[in-house]
Amino acid sequence: MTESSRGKYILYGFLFLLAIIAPIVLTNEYTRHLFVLTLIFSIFGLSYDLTIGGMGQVSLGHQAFFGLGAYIAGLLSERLQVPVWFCLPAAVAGAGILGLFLGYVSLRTRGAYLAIVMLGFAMILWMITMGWRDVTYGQAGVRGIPSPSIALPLLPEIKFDSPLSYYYLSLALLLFVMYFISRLKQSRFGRAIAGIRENEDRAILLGINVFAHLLMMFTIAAMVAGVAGFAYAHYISFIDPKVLSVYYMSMGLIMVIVGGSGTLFGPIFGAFVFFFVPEWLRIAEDVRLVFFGIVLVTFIILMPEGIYPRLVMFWHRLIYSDRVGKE
Amino acid sequence: MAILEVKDIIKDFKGLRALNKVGFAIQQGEILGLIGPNGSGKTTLFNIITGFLCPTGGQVLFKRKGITGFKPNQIAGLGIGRVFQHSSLFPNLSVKENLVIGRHLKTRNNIFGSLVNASAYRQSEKGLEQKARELLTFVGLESRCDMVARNLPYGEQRELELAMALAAEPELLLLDEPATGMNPGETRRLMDLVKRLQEAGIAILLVEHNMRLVMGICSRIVVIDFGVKIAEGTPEEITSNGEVISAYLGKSKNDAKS
Amino acid sequence: MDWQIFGLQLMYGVTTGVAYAVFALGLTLILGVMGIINVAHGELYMLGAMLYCSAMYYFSLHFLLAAPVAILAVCAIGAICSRVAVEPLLNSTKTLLTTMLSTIAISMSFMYGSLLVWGAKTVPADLPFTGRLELGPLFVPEGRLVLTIVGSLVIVLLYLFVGKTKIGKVIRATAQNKFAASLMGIDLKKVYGLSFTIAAGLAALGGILVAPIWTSNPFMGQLMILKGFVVVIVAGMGSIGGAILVGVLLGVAETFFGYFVSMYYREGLGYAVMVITLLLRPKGLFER
Repeated sequence: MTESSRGKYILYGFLFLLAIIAPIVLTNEYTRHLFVLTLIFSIFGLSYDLTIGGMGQVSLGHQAFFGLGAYIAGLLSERLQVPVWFCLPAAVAGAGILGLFLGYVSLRTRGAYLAIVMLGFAMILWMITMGWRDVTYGQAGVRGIPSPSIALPLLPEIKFDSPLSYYYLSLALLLFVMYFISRLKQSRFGRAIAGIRENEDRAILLGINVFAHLLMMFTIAAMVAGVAGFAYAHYISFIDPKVLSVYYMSMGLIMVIVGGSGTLFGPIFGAFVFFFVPEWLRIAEDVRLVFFGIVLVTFIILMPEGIYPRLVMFWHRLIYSDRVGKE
Repeated sequence: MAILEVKDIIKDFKGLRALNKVGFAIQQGEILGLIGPNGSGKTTLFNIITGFLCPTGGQVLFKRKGITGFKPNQIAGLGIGRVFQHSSLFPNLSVKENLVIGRHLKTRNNIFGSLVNASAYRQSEKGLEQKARELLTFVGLESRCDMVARNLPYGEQRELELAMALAAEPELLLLDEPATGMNPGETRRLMDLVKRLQEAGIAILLVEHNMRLVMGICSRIVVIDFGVKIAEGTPEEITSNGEVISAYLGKSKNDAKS
Repeated sequence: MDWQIFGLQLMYGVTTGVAYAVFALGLTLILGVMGIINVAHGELYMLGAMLYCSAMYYFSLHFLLAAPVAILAVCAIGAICSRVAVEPLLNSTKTLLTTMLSTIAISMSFMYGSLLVWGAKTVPADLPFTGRLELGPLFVPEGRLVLTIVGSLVIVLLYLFVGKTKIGKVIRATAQNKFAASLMGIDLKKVYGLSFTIAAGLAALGGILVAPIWTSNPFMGQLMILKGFVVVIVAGMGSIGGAILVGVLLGVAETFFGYFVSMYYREGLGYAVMVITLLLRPKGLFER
């Protein structure tokens, strides 16, 4: 193991330990609640970044997959009493099917057209959710979504109905998603996607079927968003058509751009910024989005790669500063 | 065996006939030069062969099988590679990553193998690493392994492109004006490289304006002017062909002298 | 077929369509000249309306004074945004992406900022043209009449400006080929700034004209920008005439659909048309 990768593994181990003990040490319920939201929306941010940083396309409709996942999970468990754990694959599958369908239709275009078309689809989905009251309860939303629980024989039932318990559930989901995405990037498929992003014409010449690859990645991104939707629905136990609104799209964009697109930790960092910075600065609820709007513009102009890559660069310079002269 | 046969290719663009019944064949392992004044249709022909354009008439046969109208990625999959006229790399990725993506057609691991870090996956990764180094050594870029592609000097970017085209192990390589922007030293390195490619068994279709390069390494040459083939033969036959000289060579011979 | 109802719906549809057309005009101008999608266009439209109402209500200005004041204010805001947040991002490989994100962020700031300033309600200004005129068998709201007249006038003026004046030629040259234009000595920065400012003014004017017939609140921009996208996508990039035509048609189609088919899903018509256009003719109907 090289020196730098050993250092990396030590850092990861340290962060993991920190993540495990944080909610035990920090006993404030509200802080724990923020942590849970941060974890859940980190998953959403990572899924959004699969399209932005991975595919190099910004879709303005990614909230549709999050919202659909949340609704599928919520409706199945609240209306049909489906056991909560079955709602996870259902939400993922549902979001995936929507992603496959929308991707098939939209990915023949790129850039701004793709962005706007996805926004159109997301708006249509929002309207359907508002209007189809028989199924979705319309504007009133779904209330009383049950929390997940694990009942193993001989052990007491573990209920994930508090911020503390849900923290560990979300952490597990996030770690799984992170692992999945990092392995994806190291696979032949992930590399092909990187190639398509960097230079589509070149990728075609190397034998890559661009449309099929992009469609697959888009579907995967939708499925991961579905995971976040599932987690959100069963935590907050109440969802309404707002989960399909541009509010979550904006949140995703803020997390990805400010945190750092294209990296594993960037969107997670961005999620922390989104939930904790306004608390530290004591910014009132209704000023937050103005604040983030300005922050977003500033970042796009001055630091488009995001905070996390800058931190990494800074860290490298700190560690390897003595070697600079020898390069 | 003729590895590529171009038969009576016609290409019309809204009333302009860009190619008029152009035909020739490339034998296995030979270097065929394609020359002609700017606008004579060389790039159009390249685009047709590699699948970016469909001909209005005629056929393209690769290893005796028709490939006319196939999609570009399918044609690449059959064993035809291409190096663009302008630099066309994956700019923000490292040299090694560029090559690894270049190996796409020859890599077999799938997502699941990667997810569980199966032994087949790890084998494949090691193989990729090795092959990347081999390719870099072949073009002389070993020292640049981890450098970000867009930071390479221009000549080396072109060499990387060549390495990438090789990564897919093509049987036929189309080189689109590879010596553009190169000084004599870089051009000599390029000539060496192309000769070594031929020795490795790859057939090459070369479009170039640099006459020294063309005459130096091509076994045969095809000359196109205004979308029509006006001559075909060995370098000696071409330089002594009156029509060719008046259409094209007359100007370039002066360039080659200076 | 009750012709009176048909006529009424047609009138509503055409007037709504003119509003859409004026809005899409500015959007198309920016798209054609700078090559970017200005997501904040809806908020410029909203600010036009809100500032107009506020000028009359809080400063007791006469509407003929309030309107130009509001328009100029929005033009200034637009010019600043363009210079600070849009122009630095032009001329890169990722321009479309970054400017879209930048204008989304601006749109966010303006909308939520407006919510802070005005709250989620309208300014109770005493607006002109809120009455109805009797034109033949129809009762036409005054506001709609003014909207159509002024809107059409503005469209014609813009057409003449871009087509016949010297500055207009400069703008067209830049829209067709930036590189060649800069070689001819055209200061691209000034052209960008001018185009964005004009577009902002058009948006603000749209908001002002619409104030008497629809409610003005901080959310109105969000609704309008979606219409703008539909028009731009269906009409095709940079086609001004197409944008006008599609805008009016959209207004008519929506109104008829809403009355005869379903009021509830009326909004979805635009999105559906947009999606279908993208499937069949991705470049739009009238691409230049």
